Amino acid sequence: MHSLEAIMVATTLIGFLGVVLRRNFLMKIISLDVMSTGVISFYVAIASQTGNSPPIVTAMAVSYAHPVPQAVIVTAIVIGFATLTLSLTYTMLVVKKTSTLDSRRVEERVNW
Amino acid sequence: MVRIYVLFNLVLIVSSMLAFLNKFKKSIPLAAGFVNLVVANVIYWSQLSGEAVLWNSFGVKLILDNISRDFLLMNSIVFLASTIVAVKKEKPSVFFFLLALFLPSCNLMFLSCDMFNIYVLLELTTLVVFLLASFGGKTNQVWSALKYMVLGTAGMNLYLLGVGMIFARSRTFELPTLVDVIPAVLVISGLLVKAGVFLFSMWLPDLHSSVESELSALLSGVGIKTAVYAILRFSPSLGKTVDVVVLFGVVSAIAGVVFALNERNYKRILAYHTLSQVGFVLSAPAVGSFYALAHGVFKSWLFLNAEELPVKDSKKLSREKLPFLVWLAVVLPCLTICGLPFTIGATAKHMVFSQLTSWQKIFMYGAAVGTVISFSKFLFLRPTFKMMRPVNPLVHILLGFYCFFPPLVLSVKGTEVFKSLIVLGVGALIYFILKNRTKPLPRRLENLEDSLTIYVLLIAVCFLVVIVRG
Repeated sequence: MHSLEAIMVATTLIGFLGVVLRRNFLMKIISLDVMSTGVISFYVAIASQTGNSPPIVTAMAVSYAHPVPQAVIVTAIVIGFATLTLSLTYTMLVVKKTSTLDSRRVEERVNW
Repeated sequence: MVRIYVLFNLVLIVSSMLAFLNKFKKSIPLAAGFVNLVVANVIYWSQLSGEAVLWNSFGVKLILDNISRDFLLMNSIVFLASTIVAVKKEKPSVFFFLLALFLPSCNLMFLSCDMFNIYVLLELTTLVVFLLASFGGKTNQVWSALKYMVLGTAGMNLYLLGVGMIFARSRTFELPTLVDVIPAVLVISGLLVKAGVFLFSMWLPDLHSSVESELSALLSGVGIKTAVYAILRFSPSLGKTVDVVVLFGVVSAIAGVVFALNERNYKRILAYHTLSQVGFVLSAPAVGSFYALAHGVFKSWLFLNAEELPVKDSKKLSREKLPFLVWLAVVLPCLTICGLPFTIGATAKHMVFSQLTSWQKIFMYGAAVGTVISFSKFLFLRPTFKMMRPVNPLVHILLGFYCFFPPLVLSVKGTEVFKSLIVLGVGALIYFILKNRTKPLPRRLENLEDSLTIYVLLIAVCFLVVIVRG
């Protein structure tokens, strides 16, 4: 595995650790976003394994980037965005009712 | 064939927009559900099959085969039954739009046969489920939906990472032939979170018991099956890693039953049983699809029965007397899930057990007996011969029809009938011994913090299992 990809995988794992370790629920959601950013960058890194020129036939280019990972990962970006906005909106609702962001305390107040 | 079916689903998606018109909001999901039931039955009984590969596009593929057919039939039955109950309630049109959108997105999910389609459609169904579940707006519903979202999204990101690694090697999204250890574990641990497996998806009891009955039926019957379907699709190509799935399937089957035994709230009992039943499906991935179909039918029936019961607490319920028809509607699905001969449950159990190795068989028989013990709480309810119609007679007829439909139930042979009767008898006996000694187990595992910590540990366990077995 190339170093660039390794860095992206590390970013994803750091995001995952953030989700697990941060008790603040807002921070969990932000960490999720870090995680998905890591995954998206990982796909972009994969695409550049075959070369760096854009995948359009030109006389100058020697090797082309793989178009498919970039094309499909756009979907993941959109899905990540939808997930982020939805969970932030509903977090607002929960915070309004429980007046805390600490996920343990939210749990206690929801299930009292 | 597949193309026509995809077109049909696109029509369903477009027509779901019509639900925004106040005039059509209830008739659209009902009509879609009914038409889809007819289509799914035609596909199932005439064994239609087919394949559609996107031209020159790196393995992107839709497939219609026996696994898909089981799941499609399940989706159509459960959706129609839940919709019949849902349209009786007054809800804004957005709700019915989401409901109508749920059907085609699950249909398409059950066709997809490549790694990326599976990802996109899983996320689509997750978003729809999230919106439907949090629609009630009660804090506990919203919070359990958020838990589902956080855990599910984290899992799906890991899945996507695994898929990226597989793609980097093979340059295609086709389901791979043999996968390395790291991507395989990432993919599987990502999918298990959404599939409703004990320890992985502890968001499930909270979510499925807090939402309204018709949504519980939909989520338990179809919602989690999207991820189960993905695992079944992946399982032939995983090689040794499939042992992880089987192992956690067996663990889930038993642990779910233990928690359900000790629980007293009707819907929570059912939610724990969902965990246990998914364990049955995953313990034999090769034939799991039929069990998924059976589970969808009887579990949605059980959940929809929550509308009929006067009280939800099993202790108080045992003192009540139910009118005969209601009693029948409550007891029949309980018998089906316990595996009474000549029901869809018995056929499904027989198919799963025929695939198990001997050590798994011991544990799974334990889980089967546990299921009977747990449901004995409802099997021994007392009827009165007062003639009172159930609230939703149509639902009982529809679901009962598929529970006892002869072509689905008559494949079980002599000794198997005997075995399932023994399981029933032993379970009922143990129930009377244990009767007043159970109390609800702690719910610590269901906290978000704890389930996330456990999730990290479980991924490590998956790696260990694969390395030891490999």
